[in-house]
Amino acid sequence: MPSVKGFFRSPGKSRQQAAAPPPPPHPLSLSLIDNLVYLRAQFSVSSDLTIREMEAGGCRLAIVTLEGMVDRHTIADAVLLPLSQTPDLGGAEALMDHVRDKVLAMVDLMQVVTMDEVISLVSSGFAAVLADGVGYALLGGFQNFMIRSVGEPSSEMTSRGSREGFTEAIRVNISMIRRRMKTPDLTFEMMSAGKTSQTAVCLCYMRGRVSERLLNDVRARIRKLPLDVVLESGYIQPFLENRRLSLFSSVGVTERPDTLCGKVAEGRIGVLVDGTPFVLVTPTLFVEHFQSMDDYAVHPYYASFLRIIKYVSFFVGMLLPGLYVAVGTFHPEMLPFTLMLSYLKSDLSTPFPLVMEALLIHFLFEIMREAGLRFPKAVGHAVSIVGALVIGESAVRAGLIGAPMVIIVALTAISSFVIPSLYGPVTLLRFGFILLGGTLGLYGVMIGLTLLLCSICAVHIQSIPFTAPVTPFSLKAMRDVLIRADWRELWKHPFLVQNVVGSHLKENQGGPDTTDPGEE
Amino acid sequence: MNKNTQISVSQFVCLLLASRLATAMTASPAGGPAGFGSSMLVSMALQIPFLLLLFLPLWWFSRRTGRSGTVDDAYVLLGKPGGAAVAVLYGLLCLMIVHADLLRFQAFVSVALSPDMSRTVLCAALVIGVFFAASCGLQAIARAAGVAVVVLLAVFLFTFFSLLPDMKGIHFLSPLYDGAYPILEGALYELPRTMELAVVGMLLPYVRGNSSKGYAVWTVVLAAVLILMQATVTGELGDFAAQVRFPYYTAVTAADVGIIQRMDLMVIAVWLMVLFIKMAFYAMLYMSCAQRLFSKKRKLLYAFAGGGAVLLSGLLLAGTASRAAQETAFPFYFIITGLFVVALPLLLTLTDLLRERRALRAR
Repeated sequence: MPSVKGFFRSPGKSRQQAAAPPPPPHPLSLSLIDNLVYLRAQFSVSSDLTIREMEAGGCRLAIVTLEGMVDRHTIADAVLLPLSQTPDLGGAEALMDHVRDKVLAMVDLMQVVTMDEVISLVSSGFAAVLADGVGYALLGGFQNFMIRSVGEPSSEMTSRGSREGFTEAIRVNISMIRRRMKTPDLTFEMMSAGKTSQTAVCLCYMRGRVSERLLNDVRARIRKLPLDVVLESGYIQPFLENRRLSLFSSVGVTERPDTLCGKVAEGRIGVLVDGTPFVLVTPTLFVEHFQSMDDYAVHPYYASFLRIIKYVSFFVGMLLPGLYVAVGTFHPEMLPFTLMLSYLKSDLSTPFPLVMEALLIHFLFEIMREAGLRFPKAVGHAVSIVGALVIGESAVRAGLIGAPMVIIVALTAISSFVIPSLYGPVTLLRFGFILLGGTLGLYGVMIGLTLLLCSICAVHIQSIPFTAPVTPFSLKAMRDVLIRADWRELWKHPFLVQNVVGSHLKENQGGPDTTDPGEE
Repeated sequence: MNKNTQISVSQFVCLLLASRLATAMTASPAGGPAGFGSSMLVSMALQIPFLLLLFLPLWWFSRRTGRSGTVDDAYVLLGKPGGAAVAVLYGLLCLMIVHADLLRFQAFVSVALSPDMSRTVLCAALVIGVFFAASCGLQAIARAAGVAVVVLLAVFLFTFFSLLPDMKGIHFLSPLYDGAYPILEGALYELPRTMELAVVGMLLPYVRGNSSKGYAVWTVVLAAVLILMQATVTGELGDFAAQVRFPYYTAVTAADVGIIQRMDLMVIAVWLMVLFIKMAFYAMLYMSCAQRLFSKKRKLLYAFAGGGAVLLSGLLLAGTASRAAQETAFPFYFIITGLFVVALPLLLTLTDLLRERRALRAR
């Protein structure tokens, strides 16, 4: 049990002590047998490790692959057959030169000297050629694992624009970005994350536009990842953020290649993780949650209208139940007379206090939403219908909840789906505001709202304020916040994230126009 | 506070403005100057030169010492015991202001609180929230103050124009109707309410840009907003304003603008917002003083100690401390303002001068 003294103590020291240095890399041996024994020991009884030993060119060699990761037919035709027909070349070095120049004559040919690299690349679908008497291995990419085809992004639907969404394969995702940004400035920097999983992570940015300080910071954070296994970008996300206690994240997520291209062009960094279609974007500002690809494709007046709807929905989704509970419980005199009468009628006919009623019904709604999401699609629809009937009709008829509360839940639920990226924080805050409204009335709601404001204002990443350009205020940048200005205006002063007001990253500028001093 | 976390001049202005307006919105005329009405409009304008004059010692101090802040400079110029004493004084001052605001909040909610609501729970929630917000740091509070001030000014303007048709011209008598004395008295009475003056010296090192210019802008904007508020009160209530406890709140309760029937709630909501930010600001300053005095790592402990003390004293004193003690402690606040705004900067500047002369003589 932690002591009271320990409760106030900074945890930094013990964490530093816990971090152990990584083991040194294991070099390839000159003996093929030793190398194969090491590989076999590493993979233990794993059945997918395939080692094909053979005699070729007067030497002993082995081809190491993982079953299911490579195209067996291509390896048979392009590697095994030519090798079996290779005449005696007079030594292992000459054989490996022959393999490099004639057999594995491909673009992604690699020569490595450590067993760790061999294991990592073989796990990524490479075929390794190891020969007796040579202290290195040659690897060629023969990947042929099954991947999901490119489909429409499920979490960021648009009425206009591309229908392509990222897939689980990192290379396919890279190609989708490259196809849209045909500039040599676009850089993809490969890294790996997870000590055991060795998951491929790719930093995507534009040289000259990205801040070097920001880039170094992201690189360092990914290198220092203490995780053992990384299976989704969400594993990395908390390590890129600065403030732990905040509900809002300064690292965004996108499933759309076009959105990522737009962000990268503004000096941001995309973090692609192999095995997930969700790409991280850092830094992300609060106002960006209210922007979507559609906004830039439609007429600016309509786009501005959509923006306002999104902001209103955010506040409705978060505050409406809390306000209703606060007004109903402590300040019913605020309601117009007829509404007050209908509220009193429903209140008298229900057994629970308003705050309990609100908590109960929202909790039920969340249960049904979760069930509808996890169940197979056909059953999910049935759950929705049952939920609608139970809550909307039966509960009101049975006198368990009031009819106005059903309207509140419906409005809140619809509003909170308008900004999918903020669904989590909005849901949690909604429960918080219901409790505050039910215990402290409008005072509680206002205290909570101001605390939330302070909490959001405290979020920043590498000195870039999460709340920019609203506070600190920049008039120029506001052209794409509450309203969306015409492209003819937006084009004149392109936005670069390191130039937002309050950022200390301005020393590393680049791009077409970096003169956005901001008007505070 | 970390020296790297700096705020801009506009954020500095907003922070001071939000803090001062939180006091002004629930300022009570009880024990105040005899003149109330048109003379106060002139008094508000007369505050500008007074506030600028009061800034002179700090301005001199900041020019001499290169803006390193009163607390930090006290450690350099007065030694460790002297510096610690100044940090203790500042810490106590900040806690006292948070405490006074908690009392103000309790006094206000006793007027506008639903009888079903628990005052203790409400105060506890406010103090916990305030100290949590204080832990977010100066930048976060200053950014929040920027938003709050914009909302506040919008509400003030909206309220003023909504009440304009109801205002009576007869309430605006000649400011010199009772002579010039009530004007001067009104201006002097407003000064101790401006406790922000006391902590400006502490804030100077954290302001990026010309803080003196920011201060001047603040005095002008503050006077303009106070005049707007006073005009709303005078036009709506006239001499009756002197009889009510919270004149501005009473004035806005009379407003009825179309479907917005309860404008007082809007004003309460905004007032609560700025009051929260003000309390968080002073709580943050108290925590930075505690960090300067002791270890920098025990932030949570200082928050618990400060928050607990404020809450306990606030709840205990709320029933016993009379309204007059809270609102009319004019001499007390006047002395405190004088001590932190005039005496301390002058002491530090003179010490610096003496040190320099001694060093010159030694050479």
